Amino acid sequence: MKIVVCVKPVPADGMNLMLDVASFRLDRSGPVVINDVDLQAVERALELIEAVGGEGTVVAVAMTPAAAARALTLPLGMGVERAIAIADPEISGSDLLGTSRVLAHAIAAEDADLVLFGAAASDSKGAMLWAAIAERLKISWLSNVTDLQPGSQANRIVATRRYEAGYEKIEIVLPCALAVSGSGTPARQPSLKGMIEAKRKSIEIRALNDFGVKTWECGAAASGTTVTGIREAESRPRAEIIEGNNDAARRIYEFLRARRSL
Amino acid sequence: MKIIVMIEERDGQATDHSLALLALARACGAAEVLAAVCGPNAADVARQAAHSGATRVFRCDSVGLRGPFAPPRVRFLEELVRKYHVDAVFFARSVLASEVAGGLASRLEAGVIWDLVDVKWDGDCLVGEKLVLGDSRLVECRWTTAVLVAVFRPIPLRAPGHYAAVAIDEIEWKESEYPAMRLLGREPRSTAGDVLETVDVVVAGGLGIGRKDTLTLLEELAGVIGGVVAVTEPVVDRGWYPRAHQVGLTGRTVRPRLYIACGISGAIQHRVGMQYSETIIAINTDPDAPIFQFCDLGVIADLHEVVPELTRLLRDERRKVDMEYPPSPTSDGL
Repeated sequence: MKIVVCVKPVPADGMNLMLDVASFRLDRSGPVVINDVDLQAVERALELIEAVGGEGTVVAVAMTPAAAARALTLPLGMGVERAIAIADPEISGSDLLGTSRVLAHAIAAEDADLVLFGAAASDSKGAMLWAAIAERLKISWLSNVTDLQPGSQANRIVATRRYEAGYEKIEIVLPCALAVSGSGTPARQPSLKGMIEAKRKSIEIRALNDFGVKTWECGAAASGTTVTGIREAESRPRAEIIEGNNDAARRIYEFLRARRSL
Repeated sequence: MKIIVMIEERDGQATDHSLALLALARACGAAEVLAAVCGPNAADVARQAAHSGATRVFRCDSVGLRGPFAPPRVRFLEELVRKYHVDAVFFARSVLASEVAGGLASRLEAGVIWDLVDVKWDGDCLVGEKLVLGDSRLVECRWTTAVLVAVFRPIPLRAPGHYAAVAIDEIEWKESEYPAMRLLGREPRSTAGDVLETVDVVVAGGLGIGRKDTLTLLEELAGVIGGVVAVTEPVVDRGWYPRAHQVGLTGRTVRPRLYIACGISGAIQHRVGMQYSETIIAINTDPDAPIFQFCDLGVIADLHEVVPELTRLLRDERRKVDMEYPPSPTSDGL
């Protein structure tokens, strides 16, 4: 079984994302790490290969500026066989349409049985890229997958999908694309040996040309959406804030009495 | 302008979130608002859509669209969009709706904007608004494609509207059940948490509680105030509390009279499940926690000190009340 996992390098400091006011784009100049949920997708892929007796390979694919491609050393250290970075300045400014086009080409070139994604990235929370890519690849897709097991036949797998009212167990014929939720078992830490081997492996840097993607198919010009303004959001002004442990409980108590909430 | 809304169902009922989009589409000045309803309960759900603002309802319960799968729904919506020259497709975000919206965007080469909190008609085009960066900034965005896809936050933007009922068109869908996927079974969430949705007071814990034991403090507070304990997804993921008590995007949506959030930062995943609580009290040591932006009383303090003290005050109060108004003796024999 061959599994491609799409991973995304995201700003390392997910709590303090900055927007560039001129371009309305996220400032990605700082250090990056692989999106946490994407590492769980790598983990699911490695587990699935182990569950079928070690028969198979896992390939990590990222769309990233070349400078950030080193972040792919981590999935390599976890046990991924190859890491591909699609680094091309023309990609910059791509939205879901352009991004899905580029990644669909790159994934198609790998001819995988299974394509895995993290369900959402910490820097965009978009959570639909997998569907857009799967549709372009003409394969089935499912999201919010919490568990992944081999199916009743070699060309099937059984995915557990968490939805609003519970869990659904779904058998799906390969090839397919699955987005993994962040609530499964955490990703393994790479071993020291794994990291030493990972540093020896080269990360394959590719450009749009390598997949036959035309520059007009991605980037800002191919985007189906545009940001036209940004402003401070209004917060609920009525919050009363108190600070310090002393007397806090009594203040809450009085607040509740005043509101007749008791 | 023509807008089509994907109406989603839960237990045979249309979700309020998706029904409300019909009224929102009307408010945008759409000449026609179409509702697309598919699934095994399409007939009932379509009737709800027919008097909630749609100008026309398409329902389909053909076998190919019964399973909870996105790919056949993408084909179904694509056909409606092309046949009726639809300009915009609206979705209320859910697990399935996101799966459909992303696929449809590719299929139609339609620009897609997600996490929308509002959309307006700006003379000649639709303008969407979404919150970003921990809800601190409101971004205004537009679509540049012929057909547009809009995915709204699963919050009640407005109540579903009440309109005169319109006609329902039944559609036959020829594609047989999507061959690549098969539903093997469903496991409903335990009903233990159902009480969360009806209870008056919720005492909730997030990762800020630090350890599992702290939940005992929350249970004591809930006990004395007549509430139930809820938790965030990360707390459930650590195995500290049953999933049935999870509030948020992938858990329950609650609307109690009083919500006491302990050690909860207020990330959007949790916020969508509790933000319409009547009164929100937040206790957190981090003064920058987003929850202080949408609570009524924010307490920057250590919950390990504040919660037991509050429990004690409330217990004393309860005793006082009990002494003033002792339970009446049974009337047996009188």
